[in-house]
Amino acid sequence: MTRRIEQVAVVGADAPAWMAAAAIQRSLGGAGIRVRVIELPTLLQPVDAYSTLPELAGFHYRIGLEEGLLFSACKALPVAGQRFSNWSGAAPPFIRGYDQPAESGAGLGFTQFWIKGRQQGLRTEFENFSVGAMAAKAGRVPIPTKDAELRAGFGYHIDARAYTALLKLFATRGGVESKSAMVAGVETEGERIAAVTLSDGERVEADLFIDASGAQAVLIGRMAGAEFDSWREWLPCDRMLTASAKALSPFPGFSQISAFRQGWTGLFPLQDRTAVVAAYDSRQISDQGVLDSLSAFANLPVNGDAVVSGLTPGHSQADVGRKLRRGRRIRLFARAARRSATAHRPPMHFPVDDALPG
Amino acid sequence: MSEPLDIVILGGGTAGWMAATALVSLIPTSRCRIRLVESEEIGIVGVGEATFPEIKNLNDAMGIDEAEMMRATKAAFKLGIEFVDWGFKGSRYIHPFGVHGPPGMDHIFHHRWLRALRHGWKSDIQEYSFALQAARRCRFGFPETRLPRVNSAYTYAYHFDAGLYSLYLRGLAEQRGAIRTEGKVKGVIQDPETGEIRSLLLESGETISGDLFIDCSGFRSLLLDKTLGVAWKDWSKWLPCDRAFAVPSERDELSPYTRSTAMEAGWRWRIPLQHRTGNGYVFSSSFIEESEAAESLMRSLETKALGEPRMLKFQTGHRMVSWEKNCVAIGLAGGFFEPLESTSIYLVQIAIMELVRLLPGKRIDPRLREEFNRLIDLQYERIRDFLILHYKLNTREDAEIWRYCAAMDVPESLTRKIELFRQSAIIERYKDGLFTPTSWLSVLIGQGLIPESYSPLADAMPAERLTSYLDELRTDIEDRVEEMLPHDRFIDRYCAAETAL
Repeated sequence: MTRRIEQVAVVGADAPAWMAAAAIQRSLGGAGIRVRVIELPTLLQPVDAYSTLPELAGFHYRIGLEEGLLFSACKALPVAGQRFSNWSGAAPPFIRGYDQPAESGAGLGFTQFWIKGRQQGLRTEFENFSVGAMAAKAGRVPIPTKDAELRAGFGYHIDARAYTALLKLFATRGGVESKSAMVAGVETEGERIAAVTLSDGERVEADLFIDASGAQAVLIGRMAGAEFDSWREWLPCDRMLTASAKALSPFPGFSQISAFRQGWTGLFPLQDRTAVVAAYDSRQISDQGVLDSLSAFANLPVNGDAVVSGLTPGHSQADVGRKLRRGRRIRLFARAARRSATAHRPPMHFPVDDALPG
Repeated sequence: MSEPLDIVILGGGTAGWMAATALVSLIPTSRCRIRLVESEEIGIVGVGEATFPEIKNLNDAMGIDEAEMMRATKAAFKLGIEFVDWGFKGSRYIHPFGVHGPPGMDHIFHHRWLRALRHGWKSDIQEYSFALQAARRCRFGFPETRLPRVNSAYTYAYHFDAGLYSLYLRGLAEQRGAIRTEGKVKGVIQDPETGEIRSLLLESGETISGDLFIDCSGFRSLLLDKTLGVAWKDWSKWLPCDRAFAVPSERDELSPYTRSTAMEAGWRWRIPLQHRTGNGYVFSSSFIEESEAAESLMRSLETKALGEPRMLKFQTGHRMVSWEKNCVAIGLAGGFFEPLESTSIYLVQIAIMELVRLLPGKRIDPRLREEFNRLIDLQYERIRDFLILHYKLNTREDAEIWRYCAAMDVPESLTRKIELFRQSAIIERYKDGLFTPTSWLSVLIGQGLIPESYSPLADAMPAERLTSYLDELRTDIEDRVEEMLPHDRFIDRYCAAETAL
């Protein structure tokens, strides 16, 4: 039998690093595995929010993180789906509800019946048959039930910095060790990483290293064959601007993603504010251009700082999962354009924005 | 709305009547008309007296009453397949239609079992499968559906008389509107431009026209092969058996599992039905003479033979495409696997279900055809790898076929699965196609492959808890199996065929 893994080192920052650390500690701590986080400087700004899919609830359940804390400590709101506007010519907006797919099998699927209905004069939109979409429209959130015929879950909008702090607290209380540092060097031994040297000179050994450093790819970027496979050919947006607007009342039950000529904007309502995001193609519009039009695009006055970063959709060839690669970020409203650290956030699976009702 | 689609099925064996019944039951008569052409002069192969649990889904969808079908086909229940002497002489394991361990824990259970094994607590993993233990003790009951218990995580299939099953389905199909035509095909008329089949010309002079033709003509593959010339993909280098002798014998103990015993040049099946036991020897003519194989089969019978052994010739593989132009092959006309894992009727069923889902209009959209072929190819490849696994993982040195198979190169998709399991006890998961991780587990371990390592997740359970956990599980399974009826009594109460008693 090969020797068991005993020490895991997570190198990175923010939710990706702490989610990994907490989950491993929780599942394998009892098996004698120790987890240490080498925490790099955060890539998050106060304006940042995470928009998540319903799968996150299952993850929290598995690691034992109480959902209530998201609402009490992370300004989170639950959402039943995403509403897309202006994506398809003059077609009306549609909501992609977070419905759980029906059991697969020999069944035809509902779509076939809906199409038949349309051909016979049915006027009801497709989304009206989605629990998630209807809940979202009504500003409600469906509670997942096991035995219901139609089932839907919900995602969250979460304040990114508060969520990171919560995960960090949860992980360290559970026994994860951590240290804030920068990586000065990586020692490889054949195909594996033997140790990481930190800026203060400490040498950190582990049996398994997890790179949660975002686009910096501090570890994986140094491994042989770790090419980044860009998908920009199909996903042209290469810049992302993040800002805030006032909280919406009542809370809508969905994220709002609206297309404009050069990209899309996203509104992600939180308890204390609305996170506003714009993703766009820099070949077609400048950062300033987006900033000038943002309030109009979003149909909501944007206030405070805005942060811009580069992003490249794609994934690392080294099988480490997909990421949005982000370049350096610039604070647009700050007096002197100040560089902040290279940013990373977990993939947002959906593009952006138009007007929210109310 | 357009005229209904005219579907012509050629051949009335198990495949033909399953297709006819399914189409006539599942598609509204306003959308399709079903005709089936068969000749009483042509015998049927009647492949597969043993089935796979998925058959219940199709039967249910077709509105078939289970007990009635079982009475009509003299059927018995099946909870798995026993493999004797496969991995090595003296080995005996069951591939059950259910999980090992408690329900919902199959991703971790075998890792825990391996951990106990590693630490000297020796036990047979078969003790922890409810369906397997019920099979061993010849008991049967329906799965518990209300609560997640050890007796809820399994399914079941049937042993039945395939000839009677065809007959039973024929009754249903005709009653529901399928038209049967007796006759032999003399010629096939094709569209001179597109090559599509327009009609079948019968010896009687009658012409049967249609929009879509389903080739259920068995090994002859009259339409897909003889008419449209679709090439064959030969897999006999991995699955070298090319002959089978089959012979029924008198009823024996009604064990609720198929038995497959490895032999000097292949393997032998035993399938207990209500009125007889089906037996057969699947062998490779490269490794044994036909006459010797027949004698070997007759010698091995546990009850009196009810006839002379009948021989079947075949080659393992399938047609490059199952659907070409306006012709879909279902059953042996499209491909063949030895019945080692009872997949013949499953392949018929899955082709029917996909065809029903992808049913074309009068003008066939090639995209539907491509999707059908993609899905069916995948089904064939999954089964291929799983069957090869039984041959590849053996340490028998006593016969040439076993030495050949242990040494042969196998498809990369299989090597990857074996090596992943060998190193880490992880079983590759996939979504489409037969064989769940739990099936893979029972065969991998059953053939004698004990992984070198197991998931660290299994170490999270406190060591002192592990053995009591396994013990409690085993006892729970034993107790619940004891609560079940003996299989033969269950059959008597539920679905005894009149003549069987």
